[in-house]
Amino acid sequence: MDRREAVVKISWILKSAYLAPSVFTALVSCKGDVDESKLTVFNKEQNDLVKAIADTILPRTDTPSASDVQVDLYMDLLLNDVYDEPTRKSFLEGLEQFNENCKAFTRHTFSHLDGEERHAYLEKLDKKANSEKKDGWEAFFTRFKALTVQIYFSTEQGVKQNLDYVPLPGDYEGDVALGDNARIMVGN
Amino acid sequence: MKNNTYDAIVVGSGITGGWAAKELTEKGLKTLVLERGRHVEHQKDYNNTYKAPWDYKYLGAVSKEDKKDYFIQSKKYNFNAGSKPFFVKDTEHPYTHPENKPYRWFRGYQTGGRSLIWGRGAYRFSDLDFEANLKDGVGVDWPIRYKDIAPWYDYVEKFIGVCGSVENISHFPDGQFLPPFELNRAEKVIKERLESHYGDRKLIPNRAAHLTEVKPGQFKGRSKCMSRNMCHTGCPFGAYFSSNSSTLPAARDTGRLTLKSNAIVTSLIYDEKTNRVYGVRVIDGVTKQETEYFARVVFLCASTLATTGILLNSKSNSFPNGLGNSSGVLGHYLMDHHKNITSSGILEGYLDRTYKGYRPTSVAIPRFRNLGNTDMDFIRGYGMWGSAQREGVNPNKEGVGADFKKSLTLPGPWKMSLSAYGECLPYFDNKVELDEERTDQWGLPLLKISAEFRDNEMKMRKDMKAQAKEVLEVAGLKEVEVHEGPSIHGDSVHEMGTARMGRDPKTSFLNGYNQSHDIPNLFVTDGSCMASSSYMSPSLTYMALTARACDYAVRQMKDKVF
Repeated sequence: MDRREAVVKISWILKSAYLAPSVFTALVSCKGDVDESKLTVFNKEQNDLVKAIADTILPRTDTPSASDVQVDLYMDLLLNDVYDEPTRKSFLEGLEQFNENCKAFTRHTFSHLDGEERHAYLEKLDKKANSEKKDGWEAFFTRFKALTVQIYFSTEQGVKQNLDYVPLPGDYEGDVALGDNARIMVGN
Repeated sequence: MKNNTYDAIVVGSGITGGWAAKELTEKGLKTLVLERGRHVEHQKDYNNTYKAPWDYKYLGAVSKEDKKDYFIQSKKYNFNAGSKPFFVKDTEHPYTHPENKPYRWFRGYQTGGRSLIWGRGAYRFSDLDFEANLKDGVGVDWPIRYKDIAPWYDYVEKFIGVCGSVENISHFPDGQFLPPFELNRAEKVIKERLESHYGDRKLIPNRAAHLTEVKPGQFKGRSKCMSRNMCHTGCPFGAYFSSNSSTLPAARDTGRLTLKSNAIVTSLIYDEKTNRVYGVRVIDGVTKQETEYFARVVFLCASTLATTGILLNSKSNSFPNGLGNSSGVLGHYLMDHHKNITSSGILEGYLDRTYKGYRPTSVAIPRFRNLGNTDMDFIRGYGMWGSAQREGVNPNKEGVGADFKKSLTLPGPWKMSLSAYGECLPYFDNKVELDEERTDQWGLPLLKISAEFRDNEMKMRKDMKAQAKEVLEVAGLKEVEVHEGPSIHGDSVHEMGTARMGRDPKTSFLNGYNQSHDIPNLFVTDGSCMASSSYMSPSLTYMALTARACDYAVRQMKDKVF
């Protein structure tokens, strides 16, 4: 994305109370590997659906949402260049099936639900996916959720805004106290 | 010819080539090191070492295209976007194997070879290993014992820096250790529980070639570990041992080192009249131009399979089946360690403890089987390596939404995992040959590799699997799971044994000083020389044998033996 777009995209961060120096690094280091105009696997409609699901799994809080860090665009890129053809195919089928199921349960497509309804629907789906009794169609959601989380926590702002990012820890200490409210410490 | 003449030629710049270069130059020999790959300069060429996942196009994932180009290499645990430059493209460097016997040959063709991407475990073999073949009547007796190599282990450890703890385990000898990486709380708890339950097992900090302490003047130019655990991108601190950070700079400092890159050795030049090798034939990997280099002594350190290929490809009237191969053992008795048995479990509690940094090493449970009375249905033994960690971001955690998102950022329970590695016996039919029908882009015959694990390994694996589970259960872990995957030869990257040492020239290729039985100025000091495999990383042993062989060769040169 270009710089202007980037500024617009993350302007919410600037408005928020938490202003990390890393935000500016993000602007500088944005290299444009992903871009909404460069979608290869998803069409616009599918991408909107992916965004809607991903943002319900990882909504914007005091840290970025999934789509704030372009999880949808990375998912498109990875499905095209990293995952094999059968995976891509079953993913797209799963996405369509997801909407069908959503309609069957709520009488609406996922995109037509409001925020609370989306959350409630996914919560139900997630419970089902984690229960003993599976129907089979939750498998897509399980995979989608895992992929969303993996991508999110591999992006710069996903990591820096949520975790304790320490790329150069220095001397190793094997047995130390964990501070209150400590977050997961990660490097590169 | 004059310009291409040196005192010594070393083929390969990896772990053993680097050591040969250092030792021979320091002893006054003008030494040519021939590396078949590109040049990688310490620090300067570690292009990925400061990259974060988001600095890679695919956030660090391996693309479909790379999986195709690196169809074998990409199966290695440490192959990723960051380490990719240090692995060869399989499409450019083919080899063959029977369809029903997969073989995994992992390679790094560059200055430093696989010393840039090795696992860094650094262990001493003991007489349990050196006496094993004789006792079991398997293979040939090692021509050396622990006392012969012990001073060379000392010598190597002091130079490369090995961290570890003194444990007084007779079959797992202590060395010249830097302080070990500390165990974390979960590992301390598990250690205590295991050691109080079993009389025969210890859980100890792993011994590895990392600098955990550097005193003034020590380890010139290298500094201590900053616990990034990014070793496989090349370490800008030189905190782990590689040829690039350690031995090659030492050799360069003597002013007697010449290192040539893209120099693929095709064969050795041998004179029947004098029964000496006097040079090597080289083809340039890029220009394909052919050159010859000459020297009084040749050290083959190209890695087991490559060295064996060069010898097999060096045919003459006296040695129609490969140079120095009067015994007929060359290419046979290929060994590797068998692995791919893992277990894991959760240690409940201790949630107020953690660690700072990412430790580049593990913990080890040294061998505990067949130490005294052979009470198992297999011979030899195995060890286990692993670690405990607080669970990180878990994408399979239950939940969605804001609370779920928050919960992902909190350290999870302690999870311990173990992997077992077992010894493999030398079998005549596990072998590498030249493929007479297919050649590579330089016109060299492809290597045809055929190897599989057999009855003794399969019986051992049953016990490995049972014990990998048992030790975690004994330690009181919950949700213990054990997993066994296929054991594929080559997977441990410890290929060895195809030009073995021995006492008898009729049944071995090398004598007790890594010197060819047939040709006195030919030395082989990489993994080809091994008469048995033990169960642990062999690199430290290769280094010690190389330093020892260099010392012997130079003494023989002084005595005008060659």
